[in-house]
Amino acid sequence: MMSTEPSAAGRWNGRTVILPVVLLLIVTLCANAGNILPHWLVVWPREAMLPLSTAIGNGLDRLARWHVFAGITVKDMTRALAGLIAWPANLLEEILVDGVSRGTGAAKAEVAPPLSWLGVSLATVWFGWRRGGVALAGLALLTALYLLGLGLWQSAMQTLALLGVAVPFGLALGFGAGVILWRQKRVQAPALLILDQLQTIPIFAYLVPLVGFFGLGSATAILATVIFTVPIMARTTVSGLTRAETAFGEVSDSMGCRFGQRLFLILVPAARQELLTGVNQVIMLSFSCTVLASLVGTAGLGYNILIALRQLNIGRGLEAGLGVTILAILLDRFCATRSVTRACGAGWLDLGIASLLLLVPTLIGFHETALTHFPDSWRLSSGSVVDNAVEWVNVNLFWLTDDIKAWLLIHVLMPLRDEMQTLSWSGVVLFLAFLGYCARGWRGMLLVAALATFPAAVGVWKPTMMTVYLCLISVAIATLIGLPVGIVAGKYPRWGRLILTTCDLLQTLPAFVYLIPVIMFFGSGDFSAFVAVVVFAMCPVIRFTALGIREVPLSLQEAGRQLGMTEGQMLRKVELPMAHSHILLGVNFAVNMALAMLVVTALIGTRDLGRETVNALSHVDPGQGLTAGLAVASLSLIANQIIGGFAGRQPQ
Amino acid sequence: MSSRIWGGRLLKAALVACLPITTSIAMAAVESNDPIAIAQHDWAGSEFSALLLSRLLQTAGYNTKIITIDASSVNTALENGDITFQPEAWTTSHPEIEKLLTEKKVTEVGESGLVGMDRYWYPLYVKEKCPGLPSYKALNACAALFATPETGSKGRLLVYPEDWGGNDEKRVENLGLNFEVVHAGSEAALLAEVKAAVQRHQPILTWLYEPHWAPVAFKGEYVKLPPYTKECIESGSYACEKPKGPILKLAYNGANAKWPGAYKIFKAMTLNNHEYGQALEEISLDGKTSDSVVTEWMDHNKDRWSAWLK
Repeated sequence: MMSTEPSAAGRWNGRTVILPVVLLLIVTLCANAGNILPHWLVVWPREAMLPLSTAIGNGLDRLARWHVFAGITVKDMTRALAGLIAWPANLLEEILVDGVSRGTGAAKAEVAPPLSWLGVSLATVWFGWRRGGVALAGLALLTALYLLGLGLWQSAMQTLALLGVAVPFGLALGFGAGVILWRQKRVQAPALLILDQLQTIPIFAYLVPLVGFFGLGSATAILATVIFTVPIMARTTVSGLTRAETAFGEVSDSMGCRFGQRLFLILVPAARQELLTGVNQVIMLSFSCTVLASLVGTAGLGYNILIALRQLNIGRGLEAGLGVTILAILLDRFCATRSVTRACGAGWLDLGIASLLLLVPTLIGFHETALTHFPDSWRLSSGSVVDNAVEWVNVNLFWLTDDIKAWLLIHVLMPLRDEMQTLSWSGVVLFLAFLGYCARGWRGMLLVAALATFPAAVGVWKPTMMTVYLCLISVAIATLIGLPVGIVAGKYPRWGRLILTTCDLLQTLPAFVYLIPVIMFFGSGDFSAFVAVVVFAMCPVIRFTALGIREVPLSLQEAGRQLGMTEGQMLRKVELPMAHSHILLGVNFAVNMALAMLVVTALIGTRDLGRETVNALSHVDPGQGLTAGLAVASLSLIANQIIGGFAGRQPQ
Repeated sequence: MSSRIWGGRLLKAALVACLPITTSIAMAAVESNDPIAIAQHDWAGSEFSALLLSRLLQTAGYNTKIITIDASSVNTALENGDITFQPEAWTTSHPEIEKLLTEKKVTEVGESGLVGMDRYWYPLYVKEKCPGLPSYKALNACAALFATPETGSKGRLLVYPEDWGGNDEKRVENLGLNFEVVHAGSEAALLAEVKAAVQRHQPILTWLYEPHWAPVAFKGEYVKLPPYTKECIESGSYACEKPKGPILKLAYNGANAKWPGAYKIFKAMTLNNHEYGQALEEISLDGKTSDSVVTEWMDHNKDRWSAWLK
């Protein structure tokens, strides 16, 4: 790494930091073995344990029964709110899936059929053609054919009915929160920190209290999705508006705009690019929640995936999973292209033609049921191709996968796990606090120390260390693989496109889909979790490395060539140092991804914090779940503080 | 949501088939037109029992909806009335149900007639390599067959997730088995591993239960442990078979007051392991839809279910 200019605070001075780090590391490792420390510094004493888990449980219970006025409890109110939230989703579901019906029980009669599949497809393709030309129309057509052909149409519409409420809701709430935070500069930093924390709490952790307060069904699913997506929208809104304000703030002031005019006519259009990134993220994250939404009693593509996996039908699981992916990509492209080519005037005509395309098949559908429900006989299926492929790999390549697994387990994973289990909490806190100081100074140190003490103090230290061990080893391997791939992707654009598209696919495909083949190859346990996390965490490393390499200024590249550097020298002396902060950011993202994924991998047999949240779910113990969730969140926050702090220091 | 499960035409066909009874029974006033929510889980048997209950209640004139829900959140929902009837509560694998019942958070409607049975299982081809099976006494000699890098020299016994209960660690210890108990993260994970091992003809020792599709789909046998006695469990040694457990029918506490008629029907409905297993097999292995399996069952058992509706 190139020499770094001493920063203003002068805390980070290149190599001088390494010695104390190593020293501290040794102290930490030896702390327990040498019995130097008193016992309470090794294992957090039972008497001093904070009863957070029971406190949360009791608190929520009391809150639910708390009377606001005249015998109406908080729970009654949240239930009413749930009805309100579910109303538009149910309406959408009637329009898209069930059709409008009157009466109940045996007297139930259909008044109007749902929108015809033909109509919806035609209208989507038409809009695609008008907005994004042949490419988007083709994508829309492909999506429709895929969903119809594989018999996923109805599930896809159910998913859309749910997300049709959750995505706008998340966008509006996130944008609103973003604008408020942008205005209130004083609370901005801590509020953003809390929002970040919110996003890293695994959904599993707050599913139990949500079900208690809001009941089963669309309302809870929508709320869980929204809680998950609001932070990212708020964050991008704040950063976009702040940037736009520095560029255009004075212009708008000099024109004497009112607040509303200033915001919506000048700053929002100027921040469009950032806001669109936010929209993209909200869509992608919302789609990634579909499987979890199916855990609380909503139907849709997520439920198809869940069912297929329970019955070990990998082919069908993959079909439904790709359905989610392709739908997410289509929606994302619609949002992305629409604002770029905003054709004026023709809008009404387009809308008219689209509604005509939509309504005519639907009206015919009153008489011809083939237009409301896609005929079963027209369906295809990949059948058992995927299952056979998995079986083939399982049977024929087993010797290879098994050897790799055995070697890594015996020589890397198990020793590391045992080592981590013996660490004393005080040593780890001290070590992390020191890194926090190097990265962010005194404030960072205090924050990191507090966050690191949290899991010990609330009594989840053991599972936390399991999570840390799996996270560390998987991110290390993911970085080892991702770095060279990212360099290739950055240097050769043609390869880059292929690699990055694969990354997109891997990330939008619901994780549940590839967990099953992973278990079949590697059995349940830490190793499977490790493989799944590596696959998942590799993508941000690749993406950010490629970005960093590509953004090396042309002048520096030229200068390097002028000096007669070889390719290897260029990489080592110019490109990697320049991309260093991007790469660190990628690693930071990878840590967050790994932590998120480790909760899901609890389902394939790890004994870490993820397992705690899953156990809490089945024991209906909101306290336990939220405590473990907060511990995961604090881990990710520690990583953000330390790695983000180092990434923030640009090499000169 | 219901139309996802009802193919429109099949519904009509079913209704026409039941027409004579429908008219006579639907005459009886239905206490409430609010939909009765029935829990349906993601195992194939639950598709069958939930759909059957829904059909029966609809025949009696009630408005029903089937809610697809994970077993992990069903108890909260039942307590709050988001789910009215839960046709399949497996006491064997969900120990927390007992707690709910003693705290009176849900109503026990009765036994479903199904009996859950948990056993240790191995694929048939293991027998050639470990000739003493199915007696558990043969296992120690073959422990190396089942060993993995993680378990070292011990054999590996794959069991259901921790929250399913089972006390397998104690059982293995007190039976003196040289095995390490490994918990799968979820049912799907456990079954995936069994399927993979069967494909590769690898030895595996695991916990399977009945009624379930897995013991039907994979050829294998149960390990014979010392027979179940009450003392063996109560003394905390667990060195015996797991007890067979009834599968209960549960209801929301307010269900009987709101839909007494429906409650009576639900109480009367019983199934047996044989027919349930058959339905399971048809749905998971033969690829039939749960809709057609239920219709078939109703055609064959008209006498039984019309007695429930009386």
